[in-house]
Amino acid sequence: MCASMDRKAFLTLLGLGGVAVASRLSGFAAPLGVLAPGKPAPSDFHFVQLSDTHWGYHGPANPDAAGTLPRAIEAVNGLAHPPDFIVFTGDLTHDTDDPKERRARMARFKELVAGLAVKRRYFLPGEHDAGADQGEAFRELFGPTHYTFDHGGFHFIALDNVSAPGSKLGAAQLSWLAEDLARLDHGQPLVVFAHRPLFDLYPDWDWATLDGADALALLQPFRYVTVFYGHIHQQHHVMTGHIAHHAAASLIFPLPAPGSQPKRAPVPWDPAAPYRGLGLRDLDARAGSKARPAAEVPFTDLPLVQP
Amino acid sequence: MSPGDARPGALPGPDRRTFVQGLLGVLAALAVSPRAAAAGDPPPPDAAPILTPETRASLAAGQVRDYRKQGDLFLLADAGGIYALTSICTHRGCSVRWSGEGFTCPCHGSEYDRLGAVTHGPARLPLRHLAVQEVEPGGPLRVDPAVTVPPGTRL
Ligand code: FES
Repeated sequence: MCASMDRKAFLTLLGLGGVAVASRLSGFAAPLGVLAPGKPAPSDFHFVQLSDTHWGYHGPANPDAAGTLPRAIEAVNGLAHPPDFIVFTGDLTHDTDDPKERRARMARFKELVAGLAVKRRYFLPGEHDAGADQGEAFRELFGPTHYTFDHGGFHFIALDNVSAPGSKLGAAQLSWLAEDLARLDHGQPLVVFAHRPLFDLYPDWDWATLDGADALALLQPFRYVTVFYGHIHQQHHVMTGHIAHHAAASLIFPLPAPGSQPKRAPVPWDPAAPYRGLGLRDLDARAGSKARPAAEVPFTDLPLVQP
Repeated sequence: MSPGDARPGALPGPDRRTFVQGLLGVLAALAVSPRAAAAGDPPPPDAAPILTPETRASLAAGQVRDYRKQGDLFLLADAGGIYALTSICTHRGCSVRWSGEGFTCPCHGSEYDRLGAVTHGPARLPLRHLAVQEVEPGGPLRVDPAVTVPPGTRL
């Protein structure tokens, strides 16, 4: 399919400039075992990542907090080709101590994203959703906090590194992951979603997962692994070995570069450039074929801009 | 609107399973039930006794050992003896870090002294002190995150 040119042209009309990043999953040769002989190559598709919408936030870092998510939804619905699915990589809602209000925010968020012109929506919790009740309200409204699904030749894994106390995945989830991966061929392309980074990006700012290295060790034998996450409210790209990690921009306020200032505080809202640093991510998934063997997930980050 | 063809993760269940914790080769039992982790509350999901390679003799006053990965805790020693503190912040459950003088939480900035008392909010409750035992006299130390002991307790 590769509709990205069309999409880009259309986005320009929408006022969304795109920055494309090619996430080559690996320099390895043919992913033997991905495609059974005689089976047609899985068709390429695209999906969208939205992150850190913090529904319910009120503060100077985003005076249009209630308008930002609807604006992002409009942008997604304006894409020339509707994505196959949308994934929200956590912090759907801003935290509150009041369990009723927490559920009210989640319910309103659900209503709003029901307006996305897309068949399937996948949700991950962030610590703002799950920290106060270990994910109880999230599970009530959105279902399991970690799960897998298969689409277009890819195996997708949603990990929860926010619900268990201790900033970790936890032993139970790690053994669940090990079991899930044990049945797969190492040529199976994997895409992993998480809220926090799975590697130590900047632990002083809670930009780490205590036992993330254990998850990466389980993923290590697989030739094509890409991790997409949120939490840090900015685009960020790092390789740990052959595993690529890409953080997405938020939809509430940007945060400064890791360790670039003494305190982790929102980048102030600039009335001259509203929504600066906010955006969404449009991802192409190419599972590979005999002719083009390496699986890859190139993506385009689309900033939210004023109409 | 739960994910279309998503398979649920390992959900809380009553059965306890055993596994080998790589680094230490310690057997730990898993209880998988998310709960609050404030002082006095039930222990966190992975709470199972951990066996450390430390002994009474190997930990000198002033030393701090990080066992967050193995069991969400720190092992410390002062002039009075050895004690253990949970590493789980009593505010929202993030993992606190040793700062050299005390503990800081990277999530919302709570601070605790080396005895686990709050020196800076938003946390209000101190870090729990955990039961430390010698497996045998002079032998390795075992810490049980499920057992809270009074702050003055020392081995
Ligand atoms: S979780 Fe530690 S300060 Fe909030």
